[in-house]
Amino acid sequence: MKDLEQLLRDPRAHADAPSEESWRAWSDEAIAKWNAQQAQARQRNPLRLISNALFYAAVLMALWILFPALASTAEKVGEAVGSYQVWVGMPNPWVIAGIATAIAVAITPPLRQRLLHEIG
Amino acid sequence: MELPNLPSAASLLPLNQRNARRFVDSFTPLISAQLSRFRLPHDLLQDAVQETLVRCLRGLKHFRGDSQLSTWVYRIAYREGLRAQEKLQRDRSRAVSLSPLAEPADSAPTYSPSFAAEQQDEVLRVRTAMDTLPNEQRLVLGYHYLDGLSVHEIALLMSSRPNTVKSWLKRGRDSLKSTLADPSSEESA
Repeated sequence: MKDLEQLLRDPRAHADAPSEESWRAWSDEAIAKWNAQQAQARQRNPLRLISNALFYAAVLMALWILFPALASTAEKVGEAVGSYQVWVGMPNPWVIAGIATAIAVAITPPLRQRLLHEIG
Repeated sequence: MELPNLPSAASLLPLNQRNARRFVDSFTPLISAQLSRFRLPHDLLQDAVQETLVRCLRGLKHFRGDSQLSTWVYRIAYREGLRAQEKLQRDRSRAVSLSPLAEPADSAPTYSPSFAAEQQDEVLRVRTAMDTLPNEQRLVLGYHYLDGLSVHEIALLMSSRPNTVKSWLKRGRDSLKSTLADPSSEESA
């Protein structure tokens, strides 16, 4: 009997590897599947952009409502808290929207990449 | 790991049709050989190979080069192999529960006495004995001796610890030695 370790280095000791004909057919099918998935992803892109836009619009609306409400609450509690409204400088909602968009772009990789791609 | 003639991740980007074909042609033999050691039926093996390739192609542009490309591919193939084995076990247990009179399916392939008698070749005797090993022991023996992976690389791809891999290797070798030394246990396997 040969050395066991030497025998274990022989592929036949492990399993029958699929024939070249088989694996070539499988790889062709895999490429076809990948192409189909790519095409599907491209078709979905406009929908994804619209849903992203709606999501960010909803976030901005929420901020727009939330910040004046906070400011108003702060105004009421003003003396105790030191007037949030004054500290914030009662910003224009568009300034807040701009800040929120900048943060969203900064922390969302697809948006950041798209922006950098547009700039670059 | 010494795997010659494999393209680097950088040379495969951007991942257009030509580079995807290069990747698939280079890695499919490796992936097929690795997954065939999971002892899967032909249709499941085909699915697992294809799923591994598609996952690799999808993830290639995000590959950061923390490890070698071949190690990364091995890891994806290993997970696909496990998934396919789980599916096989689920299907078998369902089949058994549906037909109580059916004989329980054995994970190791069975050999007829005539086939066993033909196993004169030492290599094929080793292979028959390998079928009696638990999954982890059989796989680590393949990764180590056939693919030339180090203990650390095997531990990384199997999400295990190097000491555990060493233990599987030792137990696998010991079991093989005792099975091969006692032909009666080999025939009954």
